[in-house]
Amino acid sequence: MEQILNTQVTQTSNGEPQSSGKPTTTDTIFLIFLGLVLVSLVTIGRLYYIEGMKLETTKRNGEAWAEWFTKASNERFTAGYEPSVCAGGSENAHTWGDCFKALTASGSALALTNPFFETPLAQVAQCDKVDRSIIGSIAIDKLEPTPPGSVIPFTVSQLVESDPIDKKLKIRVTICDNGSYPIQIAETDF
Amino acid sequence: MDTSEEKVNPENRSGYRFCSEIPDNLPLRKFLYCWMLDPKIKDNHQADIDRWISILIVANLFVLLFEHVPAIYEPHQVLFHAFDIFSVVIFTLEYAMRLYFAPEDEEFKNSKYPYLRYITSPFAIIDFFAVAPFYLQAFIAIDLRMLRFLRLLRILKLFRVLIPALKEFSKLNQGRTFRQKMHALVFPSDYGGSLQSIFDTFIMIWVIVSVVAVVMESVEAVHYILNMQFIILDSVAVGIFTLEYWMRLYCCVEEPGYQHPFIGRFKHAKQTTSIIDFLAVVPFFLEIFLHHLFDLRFLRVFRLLRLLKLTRYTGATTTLTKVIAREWPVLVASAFIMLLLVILTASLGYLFEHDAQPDKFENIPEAIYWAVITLASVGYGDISPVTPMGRMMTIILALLGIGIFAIPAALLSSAFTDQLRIERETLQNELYEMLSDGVISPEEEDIINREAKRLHLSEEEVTRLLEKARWEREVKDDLSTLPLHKIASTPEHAVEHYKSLLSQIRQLSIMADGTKFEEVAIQKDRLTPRELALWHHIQTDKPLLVAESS
Repeated sequence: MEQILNTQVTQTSNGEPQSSGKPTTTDTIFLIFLGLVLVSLVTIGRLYYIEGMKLETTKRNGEAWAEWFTKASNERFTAGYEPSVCAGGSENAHTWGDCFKALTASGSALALTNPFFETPLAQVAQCDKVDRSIIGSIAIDKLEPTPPGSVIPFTVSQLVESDPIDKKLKIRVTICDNGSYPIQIAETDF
Repeated sequence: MDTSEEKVNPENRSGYRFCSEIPDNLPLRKFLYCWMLDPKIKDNHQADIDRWISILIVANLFVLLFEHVPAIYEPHQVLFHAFDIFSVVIFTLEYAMRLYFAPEDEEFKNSKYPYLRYITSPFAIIDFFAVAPFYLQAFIAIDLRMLRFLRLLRILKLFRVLIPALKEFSKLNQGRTFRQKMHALVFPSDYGGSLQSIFDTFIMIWVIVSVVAVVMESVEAVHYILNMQFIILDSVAVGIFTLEYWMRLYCCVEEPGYQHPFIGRFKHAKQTTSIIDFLAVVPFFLEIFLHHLFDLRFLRVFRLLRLLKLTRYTGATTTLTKVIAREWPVLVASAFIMLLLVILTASLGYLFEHDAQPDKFENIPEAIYWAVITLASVGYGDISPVTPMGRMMTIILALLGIGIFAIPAALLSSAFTDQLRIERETLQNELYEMLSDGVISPEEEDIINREAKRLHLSEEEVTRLLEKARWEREVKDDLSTLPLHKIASTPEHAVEHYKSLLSQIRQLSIMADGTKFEEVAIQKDRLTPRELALWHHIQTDKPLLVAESS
């Protein structure tokens, strides 16, 4: 069929085709196909880019939390700290659950959105590649130092709602990427 | 114009094809132009200058991209600035050099004002804008972001290489079909010219860049900072490789043996290089479309297969494939011996060590790991024998292993060397054939250069092979060493041989006693009258009178 379509090509006596060099019908069909491939590539590239941007937003979410923890680590032990439920010191017996609720209440600076699902950013126990519903979520762990002489310098456990926050804590902020794999954002004091 | 005339006349540069032909008595500017920029002289520095300038332009492009990543730019501002100054200095020197040589350039030399003509030429304007923003900054308070944007103009400098290549390509492909042109662009052929080399270089650069990106992506800290850059780079690379794949598939029917529109393309798609091309892009699409359903992150590592795309541009893998194919039976035999030895060693290891170390020599499959590590002389030491019998056996096996495991390596090594020797001999035979007319034409020179590049031969080695072929050709030209039927098969050789025989007869007539010669010849009927007449004729160059006398 292709040979029939290539009628614009003639053969010289030595067998070398002579042509105007302009695309034949087959060439045009191929060029259209190539154009479609190009359009598809641009579309797929755009999708890939959008997915990448969602991950970047998730990272910014994690960084915002890490920044808040760092900033709060000194300020929350001073009198009159707001939100008061996040304040530290022995006179305050607040838990992380109260603090988190206050911080993520609508209108708050940390009321962030999970870009993958357009839902409020949720704290999860840990990133798990099997559980794809936690993509874009944040995992906050507390690092507790081990006794001197231990093989590992500290133990890692999830900062749960009931954890008291009256004392200074060492915090690790992790976000779950688009494959639910963990990306560590920072280790900071709180 | 006659070439010899051109060589004599220093005003005409087109006569010089090589640097060695440039006379020393040329005016300095002309002399320097011939050495540095004349595109008609094959072995001058013009190609090197173009290549390095192109590399610097591409480096500028990458630097410009990295400048937009604060995490990279901010800690290394000084380095970025130093690179910018270095680039500007090089580009300024290049501009000044081209301006200085303008009266020697074919394009501008006939103009009344060659310098002005050069300054207003499109390439010179591009060159000017590539460096001007840097100098403008010194005099005018210009927005730095604007300055960075203007630096993008440096990419346009690549047109200095691209446009001549396009012109050459268009000239080479005059009267050819669109598909043939595409074929000339993507496949190596006589019609590709330097544009095909540029296309190959372009693909190679993208292969290297994308593989480096894949490797760097595995570094968490780098991936965190450059995630979006990696995404863009990967998308562009996949786009380029996909288009290349379809272009190759479309025009492969121009290749000999692939002419059929469907079967030819199917045959091409089945080729190893095409499968590699396909595998280089497919993980990207699979991950994009299926990542919601499955965890396909492991596919990312397959992007490293893109490195195999480079095999298209080197003959090393072809040579290795040939070597393996040639030595396959021996390799299989060697592998069989190795397998026997491994199984025996593992079994004996299990037999002697299982009771002493049941956790390490739990079963024969577990012992195979220890056997291979011991026989291959790796010796991690995580599993080692403790019984006297086990240790004695290990000593024997370790010594045996050195020899047995070294066999395939030695086989491959010697076969590889042998294959290279065969290929060099083939090249030498080709050179021998090329020298049949006594000269090497430009087309033949291109073939030699291509083959030399493929076989990784240095210029000295090519010269040596050429000399050897020339010497062998000279020896062959000594017809006296050839059998008569060989001489007779070539008319030129037959004539030469005939002349040589005549000369010998003349020499004989001078040396021999003529009177006695004739006496013997006539009295003893040793020569016929015709033969005697010919003898007289050769001696005196008189007309033959045989017919009359006989």
